[in-house]
Amino acid sequence: MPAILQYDFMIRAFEAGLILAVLAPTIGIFFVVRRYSAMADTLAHVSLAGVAGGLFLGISAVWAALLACVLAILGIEKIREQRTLSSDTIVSLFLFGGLSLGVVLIGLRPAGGVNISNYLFGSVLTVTDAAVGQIAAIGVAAFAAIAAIWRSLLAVSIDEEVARAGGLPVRLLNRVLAILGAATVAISINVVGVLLIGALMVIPVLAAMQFRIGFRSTWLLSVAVSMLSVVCGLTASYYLNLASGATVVLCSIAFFVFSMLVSMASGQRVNAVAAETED
Amino acid sequence: MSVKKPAIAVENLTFERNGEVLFDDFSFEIQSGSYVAIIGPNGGGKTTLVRIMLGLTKPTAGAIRIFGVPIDILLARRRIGYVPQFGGLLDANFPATADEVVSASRVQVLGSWRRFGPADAKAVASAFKSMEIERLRERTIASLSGGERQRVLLARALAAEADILVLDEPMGGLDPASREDFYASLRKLNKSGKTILFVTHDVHRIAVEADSAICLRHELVCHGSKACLVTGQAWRNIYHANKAELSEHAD
Repeated sequence: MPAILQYDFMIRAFEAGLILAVLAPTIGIFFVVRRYSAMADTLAHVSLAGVAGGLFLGISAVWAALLACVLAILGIEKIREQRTLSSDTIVSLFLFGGLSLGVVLIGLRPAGGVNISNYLFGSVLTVTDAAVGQIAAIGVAAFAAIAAIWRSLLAVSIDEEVARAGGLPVRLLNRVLAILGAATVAISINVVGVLLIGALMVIPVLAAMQFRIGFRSTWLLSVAVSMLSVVCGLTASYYLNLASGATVVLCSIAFFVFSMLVSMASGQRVNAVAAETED
Repeated sequence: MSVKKPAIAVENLTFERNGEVLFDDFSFEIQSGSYVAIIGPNGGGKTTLVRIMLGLTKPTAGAIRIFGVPIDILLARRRIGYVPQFGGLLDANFPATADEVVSASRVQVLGSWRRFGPADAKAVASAFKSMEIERLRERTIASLSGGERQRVLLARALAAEADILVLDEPMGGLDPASREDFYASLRKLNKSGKTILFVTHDVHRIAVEADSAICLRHELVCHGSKACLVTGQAWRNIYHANKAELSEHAD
C-alpha cells in the first residue's frame, strides 16, 4: 500500500475530495454555460461570512456557511427583481460584502482556537470522519436533486426566454441551482476551502468545453478532470508538503491548459485536412 | 354545436411603458391553421406584441387566450412554440448536440419531475424527421450553419408538441438558400395544421407565404387580409415610405 494511504487523514481527504470532485462540476457546468461563473465566487466569499459567524456564535461552520449563502441568494434575487441594478453589480456587492463581513467577524473573535486559513484554503488535517459523513450526505442529496431537474436546467440554460415562454418555473429552477451551489461551497470548506471551491466548480468545466462536445459528454469529461485534479493535487500536497486546496486547483488549471493545447492542435489538424481536401 | 375557438385571441389589449401608451385597446383573433405575418417598422411594437402573446410581458390591460385558455395558465403556454431571433439567446458555442437541444424541450410536456421515456424519444425523432435534419442529431450546435441551427430550433418547438409556432425575425443573417429551405419547412408545417406567426421585415417575401397579416405601428394599422402587405397605400401607413424604397431595404 502506498505510504499516502497509510494515514487515515489522507484517506478521509480522498473520500471527501472525490465526492466534491463529482459534485462541483455537476453544479458548476450550469453556472459556466449560463455565464454565472461569478456566482460561484460570490457564494464562496459569502460563505466566509457564514463560517466566521458560525465560529463567533459557536455553531457548525458548514451549516452557518450554507445559511449565509441561502440568505445571500434570496437577497440577490430580491434586488435583481427591483431591476435598478445590473446582475453583475449585485453579485459584486454581495461578493465584497461577504468577504468584508467575514474579515470583520473573524477580527471580533477572541484570539486562539481555530485557524481561519483552514477554512479559506482547506486543510486535509481538519477532515474528520463526521465531516466525511456530512459531505457524503449533503453531496448525495445535492446530486440527486440536480439529477431530478437536469433536463429542466438544461432547457433553461439553452434559452431562458424560450423556457419561460414554455411555462417552465425558471425563477424556482434558478433558486434551486443557486442553493445547490451554496451546498457545494459549504461542504467544501475543509477540503479545498471557501476561496478555492469556485475554481473547482468552473475550471474542470472550462477544460472539458475546449473539446466542443455535447452537454452530457462535457459534464462527464469535467467530472473526470475534477477527479484527476483532486487525486493529483492531494497526492502532490502530501509528498511535497503543499497547501492541499491550492494544489488541487493548480492541477485543474494544468488540465485546462493541456485541454486547450490539445484542442488547438486538433483544430489546426482539422484545418490542415480541410485545406488539403480543398486543394 | 361547439364553436371552434381561435388559436389566439387578443382582447382589448393596452400596453404602456414608462408612461407612454404603446398599444391602445385593440383586439384581434388568429384562427387555427393560419399563417400570419406580423410586420411594422422598428420600434413599432412587433416584439412587444409577441412577448405579450407568449406571456413573457404582462399587458397593462386586456387578455390573451390560447384556444380559449388564458395565457397565464400553463396548459395555454405549452401549446405555443417560440423560435427567437436568429442568434437569439442560444449561444452558438453552447456545449450541446442538436439532439440535446431538441430533447430538452420535452420538459415543457413532461414538467420538471417526470422521466424522459420512449414516447418522448419518439416525439424528438419525429421532430427531426419533420425538419429533415436527422443527419444533424449528433452534431454540436457550434458546428451547425446558421440555417441548420434555426431548423434545429424549429424542431425544438415541434418536439414540445406546439400547435402554434411564433417566430420572431428568425432569418436575419441567413443566406438566400437557407431562407428558402426555412420557408419551405414552414409551408410544410402550416399544411400539417400548425398555426404560424412570423415577425419579419422581409415584407415582399412574406406576402407570398402568409395568408393574413398583422400590421403594427404603435397601433393595429391593419389585421386580417394580407392586403396591407401588397398595397402601396398601406405600406405608407405602416412604414411612412413607399413600396419601392422598402424593397431595397428588406432583410
